[in-house]
Amino acid sequence: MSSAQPAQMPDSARATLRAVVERAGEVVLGKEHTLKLALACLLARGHLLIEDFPGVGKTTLAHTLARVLGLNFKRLQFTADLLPADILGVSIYDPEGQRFAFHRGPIFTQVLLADEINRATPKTQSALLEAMEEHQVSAEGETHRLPEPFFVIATQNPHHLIGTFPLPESQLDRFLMRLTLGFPDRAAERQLLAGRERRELLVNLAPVVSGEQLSALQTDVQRVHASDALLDYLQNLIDATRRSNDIAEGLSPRAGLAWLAAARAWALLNGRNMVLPEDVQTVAESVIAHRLQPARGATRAQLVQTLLESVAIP
Amino acid sequence: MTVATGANEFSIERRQLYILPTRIGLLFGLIVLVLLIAAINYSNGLAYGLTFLLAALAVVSMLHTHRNVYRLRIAAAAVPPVFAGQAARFPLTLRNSTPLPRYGVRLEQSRQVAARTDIAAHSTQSAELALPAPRRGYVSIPEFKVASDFPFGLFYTWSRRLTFDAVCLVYPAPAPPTDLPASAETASGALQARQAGDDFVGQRDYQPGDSLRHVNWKAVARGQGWYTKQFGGGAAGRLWLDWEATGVSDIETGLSVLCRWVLEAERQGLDYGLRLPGQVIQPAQGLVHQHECLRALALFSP
Amino acid sequence: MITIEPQRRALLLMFATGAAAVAPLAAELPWWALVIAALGAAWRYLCDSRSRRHPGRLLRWTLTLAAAAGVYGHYGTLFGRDPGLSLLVVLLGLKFLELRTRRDSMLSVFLFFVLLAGAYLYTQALWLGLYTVLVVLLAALTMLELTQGTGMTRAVRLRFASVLLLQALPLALVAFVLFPRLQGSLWGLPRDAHAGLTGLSEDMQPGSLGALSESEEIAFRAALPRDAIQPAGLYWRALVLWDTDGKRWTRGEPIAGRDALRPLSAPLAYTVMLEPSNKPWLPVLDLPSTVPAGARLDFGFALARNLPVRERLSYRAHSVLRYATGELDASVRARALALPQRMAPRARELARAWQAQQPDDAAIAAAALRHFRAESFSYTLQPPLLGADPVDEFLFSTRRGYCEHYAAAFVTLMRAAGVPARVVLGYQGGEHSAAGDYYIVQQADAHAWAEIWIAGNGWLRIDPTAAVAPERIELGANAVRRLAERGIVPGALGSEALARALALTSAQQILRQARLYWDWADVAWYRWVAGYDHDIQTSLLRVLGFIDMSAQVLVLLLASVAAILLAAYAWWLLKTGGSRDPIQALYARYCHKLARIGLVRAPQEGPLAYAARCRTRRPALAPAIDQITDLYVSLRYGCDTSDGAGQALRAAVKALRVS
Repeated sequence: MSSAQPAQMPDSARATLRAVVERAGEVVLGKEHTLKLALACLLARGHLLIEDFPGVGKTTLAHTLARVLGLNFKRLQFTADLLPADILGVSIYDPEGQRFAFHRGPIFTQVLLADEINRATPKTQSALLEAMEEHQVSAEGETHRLPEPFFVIATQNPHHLIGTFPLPESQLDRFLMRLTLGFPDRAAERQLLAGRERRELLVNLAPVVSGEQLSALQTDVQRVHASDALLDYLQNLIDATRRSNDIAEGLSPRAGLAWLAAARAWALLNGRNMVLPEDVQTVAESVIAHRLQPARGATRAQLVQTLLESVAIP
Repeated sequence: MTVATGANEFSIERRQLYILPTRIGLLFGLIVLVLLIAAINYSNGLAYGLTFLLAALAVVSMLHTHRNVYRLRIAAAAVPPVFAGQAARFPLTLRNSTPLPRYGVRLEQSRQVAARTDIAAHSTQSAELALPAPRRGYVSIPEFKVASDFPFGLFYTWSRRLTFDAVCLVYPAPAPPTDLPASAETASGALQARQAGDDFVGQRDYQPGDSLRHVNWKAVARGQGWYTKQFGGGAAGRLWLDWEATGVSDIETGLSVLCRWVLEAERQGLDYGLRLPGQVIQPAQGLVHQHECLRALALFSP
Repeated sequence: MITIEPQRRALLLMFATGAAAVAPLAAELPWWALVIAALGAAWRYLCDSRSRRHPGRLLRWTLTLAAAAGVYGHYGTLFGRDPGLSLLVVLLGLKFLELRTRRDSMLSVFLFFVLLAGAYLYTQALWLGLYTVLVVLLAALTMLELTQGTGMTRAVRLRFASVLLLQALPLALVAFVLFPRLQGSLWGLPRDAHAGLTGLSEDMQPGSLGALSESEEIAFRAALPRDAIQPAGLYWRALVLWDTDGKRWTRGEPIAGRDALRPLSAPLAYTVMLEPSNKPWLPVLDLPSTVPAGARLDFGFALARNLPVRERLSYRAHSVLRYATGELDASVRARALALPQRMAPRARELARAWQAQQPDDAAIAAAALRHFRAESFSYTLQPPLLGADPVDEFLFSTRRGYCEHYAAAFVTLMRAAGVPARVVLGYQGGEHSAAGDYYIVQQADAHAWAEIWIAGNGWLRIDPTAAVAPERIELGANAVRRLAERGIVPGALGSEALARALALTSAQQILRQARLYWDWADVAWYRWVAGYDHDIQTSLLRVLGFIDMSAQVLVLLLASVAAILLAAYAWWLLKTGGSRDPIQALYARYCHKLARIGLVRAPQEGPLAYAARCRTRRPALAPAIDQITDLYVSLRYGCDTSDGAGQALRAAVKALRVS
């Protein structure tokens, strides 16, 4: 962002994060900002929802992140006939052992790419969302912990497309961030066209971070300092959403926590160990836009923009 | 771009704040004067001391009275709708961004104390102004002033009259509970509630909220996408609340009846629509829908 | 007007304030007035707490009239200090019964202040000044309580009232110092303003000083260096008694003229601060060589004023400690020898024997003192009662008495032996206060001694008491009393045993020191507060550099100083940033500097974004901007709160040159 960045965090962590962004940037072209946001989301232990048209690289982004972070990865294409058991797993009677044995579903992975989540029925969706929330799966009275770390990167087609079940509004805030990718710019598109097949690159992509490093980074995120002044600012913003006439319902306390966590991760990604108002502003749209209910005609992005412009930094 | 204080927030500045001694304050002044004369007469040092201490106390209390309201920030929050006959309640947010608490701040609405509250340092407090709402439509927030006679009641400070861009939507008063219009009255088309028709009339794109029972699963299975099958001549299980069906000539009474019907239909969990002269609201249910309907009634003008 | 009956807590606070305001007056007012006031309060409280009906108007008026009649019956008038204050107390007590509105209650509280001011007519001592602040604090709490509608807790109320009072004090002080003081009263003091003061009476009979000997009341203070004079030489003369009827000694007809004084040592200058005594005498050390303005010197070197001393009076005096006086003319000599015909026949016989035996007057006096020492005379503060011929009874049968017995007997003996003699009444001794380097003389130090006239020397002080009880003279009246309390007879102990007997425990030492310091503060209080008048104001203002200021100018000065003080308060109270932290102030200054070149920071613009914008517009400033932003960000949003970084930011912002 600028050279005015106090260096107080360990150089190794900085270098690691830079390497992650660079390596992933080789595959996901021209989307550095979105990539960083996605990374911040995962560092803040949040689930990610990517919403865009098919073919803009959602799956590539998710897959890339999993690879560079050295996490095992499963992709699950959601369809209308997908049943909850297809995701979570199923208990089958084992005649030899005379008991039910639980067969783990694809959700037992570190990174689950839930592709086109809005194609599944609401029942299936909520089964996934529940597991996401609780980090566990319950079947036949038994609970099965999901692995750590556990991320869901869900992709969703804009729901004016035929044959989709958009996620209910109330479920949206299970996702820390919602990102859109957009079409690549001309240069990136050219590179895409001229370069090798992305999938091929992905196969050769080596992990940059080990499991320990990743969990250390996640701990670092929680340690990023949020001063009183910063919290004042964040509170003012949250208050403003509750006071505004343009917003039907203000942000929940959970949303506030999510916002702070994302801002912390963003600060860390930028090599700082303290949260600045800019961090709060940068992650604002991706964190809160899907949690706000416009009362009148404004779009959610506009709401966020107005909000940021109307609240002074104390 | 209004910044710094947030949109629709008003800060009471020096020019909008007046202060005068109260009658009690004048009485206090009189007593101090008597003490002063006694002190001069008796050349009594202690009496001089007491006189000046009391006078100083009054002057300092005046500063505190002024400060108690100065730069208080007021914002109007969203106003919940009410039914005619109820009181419109306008919530206000009083924000104290100073490091000293404010005590006994009063909101005065046409010489009446409407609310009285303390506001801690760096915090906000909500208060409410109430205004009778006898008729449907909009009621604007009344003019009010912020006043205080804290700490001793010797001085009274008040702001100039304040008003905000806040209105309260007043629904018509619901008529006494009546039955919903019955299907027998369908001659006028008031009620088209029917059992789900079995004549398939076609299909349309699936919309969120459509019953899964009506999804064309075969098409889904074939990967042709999502469609909802549509049945019958009218909407299945839908109740039309029609202006004509009220059978009342008086507009207000009719609106009251419709208001009651809307509430009743919502309570029973029906899908209901509203037909007013020149305005139709498609059947649906839920609080948002209810609000849409009641708003139409509140703002209806023939 | 909002009508709120005082809530119970407010009512109790009002009672407390009222009681506190009337307390200093309690001893001065008739007891029944206080009882009526207390009953009024109690009645009101019971009505409230048991939800009884409040007494009706008729009853209240009847009570009020009865109370007024009671005051009239007691004093014979309703005017003047005591009747006025009694009436006020009674009416305020009954007023409790009819408190309805907040205004009623507030008015009562205001009238408590008038009551409190009433106490100043009796005393203006330091304790009352401090007590006043306490009562005002209590009243402020009451007024806060009466102002309804705040959720302040008791602790917050107390803190707030204290803060208010602390803010008011400097303002009050400025007004006190600068408010122009007039010379003299507007319309004179009420007649009874000075009743009940104690002091030396103008004659002496056995037992008349006895009443004073128990009194710890202060007679006067004298600012006198400690080493200027031995304690035994501290004879403060007040009046000289010439005539006797056998029992009483009186001043008699004033003697015209003035005795000559031949100083044998340099005069000693000192200041006396006399407590009100309602008597005209001005005590001075033997013998005064100058006469303070407004006083007269009687024959016999007694200083007096024409008017009784009714307020604290301070005067400058000079005394010569070694002296001789002039010749005695025949008429004075006759008065100094006169004795009633049938008085003290046995004493006369004894005196005549001495006259025959002794070569001169001085030897006669020495013989008399020897007699007192040799015979079994003793000093006591509880002497037996004496009958028709007190001198003979004392000299030959009881032989127990104190200074006035000895002085009267000695002078009678001298006159009978043909030696001119007179009685001197005044004070002897005094307690030295190191705190202010002055002597405190109590009424208990009242003393009587004798003077005889010796040819060639003039009047010579002879203290027969010293012959019997040297402790009284050397250690003071207090020491004698303390010895008496322990059953030790004066003259019975050696000096070491005496010192042991009189030694104070350390607690008593501390108490004594505390008492002396308090007295010193009281004196300062009197000088600077209670007695702050036109003269002191003028001299104080002169010290401050304001010379010859008219009342109008003073009022202007007062108004402007008060305005400055108020402006400071207002600034402190109204600044909304409040305790805005210095880092923010520095950052604001930095933004202000950049704003001058058109780079205005938007309120919602973060420090990094602003820095980036400014850097691109003014690349030359980039290093400074980066440095300031780095420091600011780490101070404001980081954990760094070190002074070093703050200083660096201050320096960097100061060094930023934008043009």
